[in-house]
This record gives sequence, structure tokens and C-alpha cells, in this order.
Amino acid sequence: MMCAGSDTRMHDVQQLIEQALARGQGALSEHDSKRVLAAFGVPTVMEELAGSAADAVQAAERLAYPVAVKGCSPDLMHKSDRGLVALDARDAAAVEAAVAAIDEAAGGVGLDGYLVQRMVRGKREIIVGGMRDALFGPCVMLGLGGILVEAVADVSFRLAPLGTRDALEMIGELRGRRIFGPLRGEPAADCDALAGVLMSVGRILEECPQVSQVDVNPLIFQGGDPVAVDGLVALAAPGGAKGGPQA
Amino acid sequence: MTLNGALTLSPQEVADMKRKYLALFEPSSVAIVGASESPLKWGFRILYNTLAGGYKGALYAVNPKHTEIVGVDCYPSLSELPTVVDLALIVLPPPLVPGAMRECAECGVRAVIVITAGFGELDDPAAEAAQDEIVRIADEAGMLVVGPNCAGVASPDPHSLYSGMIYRHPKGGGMSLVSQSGNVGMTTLTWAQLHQVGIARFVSSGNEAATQCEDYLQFFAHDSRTKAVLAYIEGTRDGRHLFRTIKHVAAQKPVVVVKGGRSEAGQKAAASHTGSLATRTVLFESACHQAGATVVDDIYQAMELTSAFVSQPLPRGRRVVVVSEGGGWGVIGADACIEAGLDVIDLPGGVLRELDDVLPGWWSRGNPIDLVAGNDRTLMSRAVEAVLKSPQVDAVMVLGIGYICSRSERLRDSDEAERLGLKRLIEMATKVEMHDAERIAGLIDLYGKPIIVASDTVMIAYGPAPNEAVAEMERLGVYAYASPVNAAKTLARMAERYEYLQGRPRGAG
Repeated sequence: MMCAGSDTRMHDVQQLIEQALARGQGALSEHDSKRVLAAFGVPTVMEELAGSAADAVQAAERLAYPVAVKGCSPDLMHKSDRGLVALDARDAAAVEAAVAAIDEAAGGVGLDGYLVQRMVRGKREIIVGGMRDALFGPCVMLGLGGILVEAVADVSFRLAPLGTRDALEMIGELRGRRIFGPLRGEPAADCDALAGVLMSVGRILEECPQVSQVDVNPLIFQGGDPVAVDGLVALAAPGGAKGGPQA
Repeated sequence: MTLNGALTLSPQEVADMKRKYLALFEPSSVAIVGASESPLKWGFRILYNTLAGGYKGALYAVNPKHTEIVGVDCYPSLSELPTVVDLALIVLPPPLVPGAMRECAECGVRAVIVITAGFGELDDPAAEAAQDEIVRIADEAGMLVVGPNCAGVASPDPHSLYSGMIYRHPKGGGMSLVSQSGNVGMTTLTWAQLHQVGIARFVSSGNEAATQCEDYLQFFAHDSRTKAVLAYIEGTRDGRHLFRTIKHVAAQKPVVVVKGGRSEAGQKAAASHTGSLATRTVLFESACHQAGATVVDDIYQAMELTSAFVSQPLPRGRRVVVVSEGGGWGVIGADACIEAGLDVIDLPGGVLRELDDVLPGWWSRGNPIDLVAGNDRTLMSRAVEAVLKSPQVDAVMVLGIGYICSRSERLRDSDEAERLGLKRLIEMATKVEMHDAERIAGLIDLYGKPIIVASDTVMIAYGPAPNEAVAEMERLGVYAYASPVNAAKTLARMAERYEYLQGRPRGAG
């Protein structure tokens, strides 16, 4: 399995995390979270962080329409519930309107900027997560995604770090595993690439002790290729309370 | 050592561990401390159970009030025994337990089982402190201490040791069990005795004050008598330690895990989706599976699987043929196989040709194979052999055995049979069926492939009139399932074990 890459990239990741912790952040912003994911080999959506409406329009033009525009801040979670996400903006006017709407919805929360992303289309959405359990340590989760993830509860877990077999078994254990086959005009999902994502999330937990949780949600299959569209890397100062009862 | 590495021991550590645990499972002398004369007390029953189990070593009772109980010499204290015992079982009221343990330590007793309850399982600081005292004494003396609040130990071989609360005496064999519940332990030993399944070691681990299930599992990995392991676990103190221990054991021997307390509400870790879905049971079972164990949610299925791991070879694939005495059972058997993730294959040409010679001309030429309830009792074993020897078949499911024994049971001792002169006929037919059972069991070793057997005759096989053919099958190590559903699940889980050992992802397709 390819590693996080060069020592330089690992160094960048460490720096991102330490700066965030120094600022008292409980999580990295979406943009920084995806930089960490990408450094560990997770394919992420093409995006740019823009400081203004004009910058956002330029970014959209570089990325090519249509784009998604999101308010970006380490203090913001559940962005779509709060009106901080505009999908499928097809021209400059739509991007400007999206930026204005995000400013209003943010209601005074300081934004790092506006995240302009190339739209990713695919019928299959899944979630990949990582967390630390008081009893079992770092764990990786794979689940069928979408807003019903908790209700459907079709998930599988492994302890990190994962081997290739562990990752492939996680995929095979889902009740809904048939979504990875050719489906409604879409090609078969690249399960080896998905296994790579699962192993990468495991390695983030293994190699970055300050990372408490990782959520890649959703991971969308564009054709057969998995792409992380949103990501969250939550942080905890090392030695912080872990809590949790015994099994 | 990586986070996920198997927990391996050095040769010296293994030797020390074996010495320690053999004092528990193969003691040459045993003392029951707190033995009683009253049949209503555990102090009597445990002594009596040990005696009735036919323990071959030196057995002593300890109680200052008696000199003899049920023929066993009774001494006022441990220090007055004629020998230093290997194993002491303590069956005293809780306040007397620490004192008795100290006496064990002073005498040099090597292993102690504290049967007594009323320690860490209570929500009471004084009881928890008393349990801590038990751990302290164990650690200081370097004694192996089992319990407290446990049901005891069994190891049929070599000394016929059945010492504890459970009055069951299964025969010796390759299956080892550790149970965090004495009650579930009772279930397993009862099952083993009923089905003639051999046990290597059984230990009820109780509160696991000084010795945890992981420790017993580690011993089982290195125990030459243990061929497969079943663990009933409700909780662990260190999930990673459990994981790494099972990884070590499962690389060498099959491990079957039943998790008790699955429905307890999981701990909600945080606001993320991952945290809210990661219940303790899900993580526990995932970890055991990842470590190479087979996680089973039913204690009977777990027993069936573990005993199959001991007595049957692993299928080298998922291709199965169902051979049935009758139509409907064949259909539900094939359904069960498919549901379990097995591959109910089309019969290979070679098998078809061979079966054409064996079966009547009108046979169905399909899988499941229907033997059309014929009267030729040798058909079954001949058909099974024709199928099993095909290189395209990994396992055979046999449905329906013991019908003659079952049908003739009500006739056998009747006046009717006498009057009609049927007695000899029944005897002969029974013999033929017994021989057929033996032949089927023999094919397993001959071809190195598993044969899994289910039959409705099992329903009435263990009552007042035991079914000789079923009993013979089980004596030969082929468990008779009452349902093809459980039989198929066992076969699929055995196929998974083979896939695991091959380093492949487990699962159908």
C-alpha cells in the first residue's frame, strides 16, 4: 500500500494538525481535512478555497462548471442542514448568489473562505469513518451512506491498521454489497481503490495520535472511482480524556 | 510490536505457562476446601461431582468438623493434608476465602479455584475490595487463581477431572472451552455429553479476578490436547489484548466466539456517524472476526461448529452436493446451503454417470439428489461416496439417517413383532443401517472432505428409546443435526476457516 507519501507531506500534515490544536480547534476545516486525507492517498474532489465572491468565480472557472460552493470553517459541521452548501452552480451569477447566501446563513461565524468544488456525480454514496474506542483503540468503519446511514445501519468495522484482506472483507460484509457491482448504468465500483481508502483512514489513526475521528461522508463513486466529497478530521490533544466504559 | 500483531510468547514463557495451567487441568491431587456433609450445599456437591466423575488422582476434603465425607478422607486444614495438593477448590463463605487462599499459598498449592460468589460481581465496594485481596494473594504467591464466582473445571483426560458445580461427565476429546458464565458452561457440557462430543478442557472463568479468558485462550493455543476452542465472552478489559491473543490462537487452531450481552446499548462515542454506529458489540465481534475467530450468535450452533472443527476436515471450497432420503428435505437443505453462502453445484458429468449405476433409472439427475425413499439401505452410502470422490465437490450434506431404527423402535419389543416373526428381520435391518452409518463416517477420512448430516429422526433420538444409528454416527464423531439450516451454517463457517487459512477474504463471492 502506498504510504502517505513523502516525509514532506507527512510533515505538512503534522504542521496542519499542530497549528489547529494551537488555535484551540476541535477539528480541521473541511478543506484542511481533505488535505490530510489526500496526503494519505484518499482520492478527494478537486476544490479551491476562495476568499471572496470574485475569487470564487475565478476558481469555478478554473475547475469548470458546474460547481458546489460551501462555507468553510473548522467551527462548522452539518453544513447542508444549516444552509451553508449550494450545489450545482452553473455560472458566475450562481456562484455569487451562493456566496451571498452562505454569508447570510453563517450568521457571524468566522469563515476561512468559500470552498469551490467540482461537482461530483454518482448514484452510489458511502461513508468511511475512523474513530478511537477506549477498549479497542483505533477502528475503521465502512457503511452505506446518505442521510439514512444511522437508520439503515449497514456498516462493518475493523481495528486499525488494516491489511488488504481486512479491507476487502469489510466491503464483502455489507448487506448491500451488491451496490458495488455494475448498477443502473454505472460500472462496477473499484473495490481495490475503496480498500485503499479504508487502509488510508486506518493509517491516519495509526500515525497521527492527535486525530480522534475521521469522517469521509460522502464518498461518491464517480463511475467506478471513489471520490471523497466531504471530509472531517476531528482532533484531540494527546493524553486527553478517552472515557468510555468496559464492554 | 505493531498495534495489530499476534501475541506470541517465547519458548520459555510457553513452558512456564504450560506448567502453571497443567496444575489446573491435570492435577495429581485435589482438595475441596469447605467440603460439606449436607447434600444441599455446594461443598458437598462439588466433592461428590469430583468423586462421581471418577477422578484418578488423590482427592481430599477439608473441613474441621469431619474426618470423612462420602468415603473421602477429610482433614481439619490444608496444612494437615498428607500431601501438598496441586489444585484446591474453595467453597467457603466469602469472609473465609482470603484466609483459605493464604493457607494455599503457604502450603505451596499450585492452582486455586474460588467457587464462592459475592465479590466483584456485586455493586459493593467492600466486595470489590475483597476481590482485589484475592488478586493480591494470587500475584504474591504466583498461584494460578480461577474465579471467584465460577463453576469449576473439567478435563476428562488424563485424570478424569470433573471438579465443580456442573454434574456432567462428557468424554475426553479435542474441544476446549472457556466460559465467563457457569450457567452457559453447564449448557455446553450437557450438550457435549448428550452428543458424545469429546472435551479437552473446560473452565468457568467467573469474575476473572486474577486470570482472564485471554490467559486460558493463550494456554489452549499451546495445549496439545486442544484441537479447537470455544469461548463464551461477555466482556473484556482490554479489547486490543483480546484481539492479539485470538490472532495468535486462531493462526493455529479454530476459535469460535459467542458474545453474551449483545443487545446492551452501545456507547455513543461522539457526534459523528462513525461514533454513533460503533457499539461495543459490533466492535467486539468485528475484532474477534478480524483476529481469525468465527463469531456465532447461538451457543448451540457454536458447539456444533467447534465439534465439527475437531472431528471433520475443512472443505477446500464451497461446492456442496445434497443427498437426501426424500424430496422436501432435499429442497430445504439446498435452500439452507444457498442461504448460508454455499454453492449447490450442478452435478459433474462423472458423478452423473456413476450415480446412474447406483440409483434406480428414474432418479432426478439433479442436486439435491433424491434417493426416492427406496428400501435399499446401502444406497445412501454408495451415493455419498460417488459424490464425495469427485474433485469438483468440496462437501456433502446427507439428509435422513436412522429411519429403520426409528421405525422399528415401537415394534421391537412388542408382542406383535413376536407373533409376526419380525424380530429377526428388525435386527438385521438395524444392523444394515448401523453399517451404513459407519461407512458414511468412514468416507470422511477416506476422502479428506466433510460430510454433514441432518435428520428428522434426531428429534426422537435421545429419548427413552435411543436411535442406534444416530448414536453410532455421533460416536464416530459425526454430529447429527436436527435441522439442515444449522448444518449448512456449520459447513459455510468451515469454508470460511479454510479461506482464512489461505489468506483470502472470507465470505461467499
